[in-house]
Amino acid sequence: MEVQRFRPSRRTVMQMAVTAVAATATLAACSPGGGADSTVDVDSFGWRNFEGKSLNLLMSEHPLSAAIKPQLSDFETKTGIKVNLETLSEADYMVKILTELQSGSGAYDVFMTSQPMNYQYAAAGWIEDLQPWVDNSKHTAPDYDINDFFPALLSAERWDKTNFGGAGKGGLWAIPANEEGYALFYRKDILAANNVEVPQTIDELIAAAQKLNGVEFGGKKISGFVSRGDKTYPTLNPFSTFAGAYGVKDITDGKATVNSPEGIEATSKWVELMKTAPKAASTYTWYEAQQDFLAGTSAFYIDADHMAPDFEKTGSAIAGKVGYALPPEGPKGRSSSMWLWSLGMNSASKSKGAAWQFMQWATSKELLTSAIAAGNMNPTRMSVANSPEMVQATAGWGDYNKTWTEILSKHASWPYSPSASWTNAGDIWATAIQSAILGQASVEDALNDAAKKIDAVIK
Amino acid sequence: MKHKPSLPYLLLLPALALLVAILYPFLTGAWWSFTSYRLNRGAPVPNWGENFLNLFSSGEGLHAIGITLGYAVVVVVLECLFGIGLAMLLNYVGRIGNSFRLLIVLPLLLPPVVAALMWKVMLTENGVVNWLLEAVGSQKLLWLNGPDSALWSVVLIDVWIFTPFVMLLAQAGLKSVPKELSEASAMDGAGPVRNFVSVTLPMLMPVLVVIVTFRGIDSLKMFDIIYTTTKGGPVDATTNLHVMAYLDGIRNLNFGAAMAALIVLWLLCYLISFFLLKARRKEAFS
Repeated sequence: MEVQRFRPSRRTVMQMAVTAVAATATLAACSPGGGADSTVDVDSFGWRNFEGKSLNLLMSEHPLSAAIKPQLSDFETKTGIKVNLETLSEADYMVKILTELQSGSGAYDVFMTSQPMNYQYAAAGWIEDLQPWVDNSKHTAPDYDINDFFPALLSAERWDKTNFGGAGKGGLWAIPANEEGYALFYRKDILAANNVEVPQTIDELIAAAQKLNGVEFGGKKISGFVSRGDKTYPTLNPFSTFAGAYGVKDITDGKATVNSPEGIEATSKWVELMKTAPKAASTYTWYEAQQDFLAGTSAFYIDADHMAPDFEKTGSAIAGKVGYALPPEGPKGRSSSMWLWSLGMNSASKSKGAAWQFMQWATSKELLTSAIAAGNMNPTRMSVANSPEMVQATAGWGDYNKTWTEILSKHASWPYSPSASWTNAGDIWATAIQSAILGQASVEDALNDAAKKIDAVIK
Repeated sequence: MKHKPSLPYLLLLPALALLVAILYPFLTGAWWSFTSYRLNRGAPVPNWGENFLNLFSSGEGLHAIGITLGYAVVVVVLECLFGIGLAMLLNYVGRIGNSFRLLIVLPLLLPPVVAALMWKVMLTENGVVNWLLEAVGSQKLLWLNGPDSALWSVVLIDVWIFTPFVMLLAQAGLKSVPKELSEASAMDGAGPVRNFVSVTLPMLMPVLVVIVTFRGIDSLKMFDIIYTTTKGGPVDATTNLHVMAYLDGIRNLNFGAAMAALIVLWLLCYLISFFLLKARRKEAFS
């Protein structure tokens, strides 16, 4: 009898324990960040100052890491520093770096980052301010030449940690190693066969995409347009071309303004254009959108300009057929977001001196020049952007070089508000756009709802 | 024979260590659920139940709870129907059934993430499933990409993976139904339906409770299939509590809200196992 009564209750306890573990398994244990800074004091700069140290790097699978990987042994020979590079798919790397940084363990010394990630990390104190390192001649190579970087890019890496302000001021959180602006790609052959001019404005683009949607070309049914529609903030990068052209601000004076009249108009136009994309595009990330364009089934595509190497590589079905144009014009002119894949340093790193040496080497003129061949575009250094190597690599790509430099010099900026919780607000905004494209809500309702949610997140 | 008085306590130590290893993270999480803890904005500050209030008063929270419960009910019902049906069919055909069983359990041998990815590829716009649909003259479907079809597509994958599990348990249960009973009821003039309802099903009850407990809890806290195929989308069509907690916590660093959702999920799992195990106890005594 005792035993009979005991059995179920033990099971209940076990069940409780099992579910408790399952429920907490998603979340790693947390301890406050901040490791000891064991920077060795050095008398003067020397590439062998940190001989014998070892570094751990975490990067996403990307032309940048692909360019660095085969040359790591050069760095190891040059400095005597041992380097372990771990690369993961973009989604896995994003989660891993977040959990690693919040643990404060300093397990990874250097990692890939970007502006919205900088805000998240800098607010928490997880990422090292690099300005003191740049200014320190004992640690920075005399020929590093920080002023060779495009000033707009360095400025985009700065933030003084003021919520919804302070962009371009304060700490330098990362060194840019790869720049992308957002261009309009079009299929020259499809446009020519249907007597369509390259659209200059948003309205012309929508009309052209509607005209081309459903036409037969090369035995395939063509969709007018394709782009990202996924419910995460990177979707706001291609969308920035519309948001900027209508002068939409995400947050004004601490309140969400995604549902302003211009916000509703820009989104309505974007939704109209996305209706000429395959239905599934409303869930596409850049990867699926690019696959569609590479398959030759889309006439227009707005995304990162530096996708050109994928379009033009030998064996591509669309090589030589892609036109590169500026983002279409709206009432406030042309506009583009700017995404910088950059290198950042873990503020809990135990080998900061060695880590800074690696970052200098990986963003040096030599390495960034040789990275062009691996498809790491666009260059972040002016000398590399104007190098014969860049001209040669892009020689067969039509207007590519002219287009990306013009986007960078005239139209590109990070258009969204710096804030520790921006990525959350960005996800909410992108979800509202997806909802409108899928017809789950009207543009106005979706954006009003998003504004309410964003206000709750940023308060 | 003399025992050192401390020995029994020493022997308890490993169990105690295990208990601490389980309870410490659990209680920490429970505490965080009552705070406005954001991972990148300093230490937890209590906000006493605001997270739970938000969960139960906001559209998203109630939507996620609805998806969680609805998903579990639909998945468990479908898997029980197909699983028990298959088990009876295999029992009926006898020996040949055993070799079929080997084939049917294959989905169980795949990690759910792999199975989900496989289905994701098959269900894309130009995937093999749509190709087959077109071949028989039907329209292409949006499957995982459609706001109305995404949840059903995930259900389809879940049912494909876990029906064999139900089938295996049900088959074992069916073996315990004495042949004499069904023969006797057939003698008394019961048809196959009557025989199933009055003889087989009651005898299967103990096994059925186990099946519903396991599959019920598993599908309440479903995460891997949903996250690999839809990440909770399109919009929030497949966002259950577990996916919502993951997005809140790991993506948006809002641990307070995430923990509140997980505590509610834990309570749901706990209550269901409590009542089902109680039912099982009754079953064992009767």
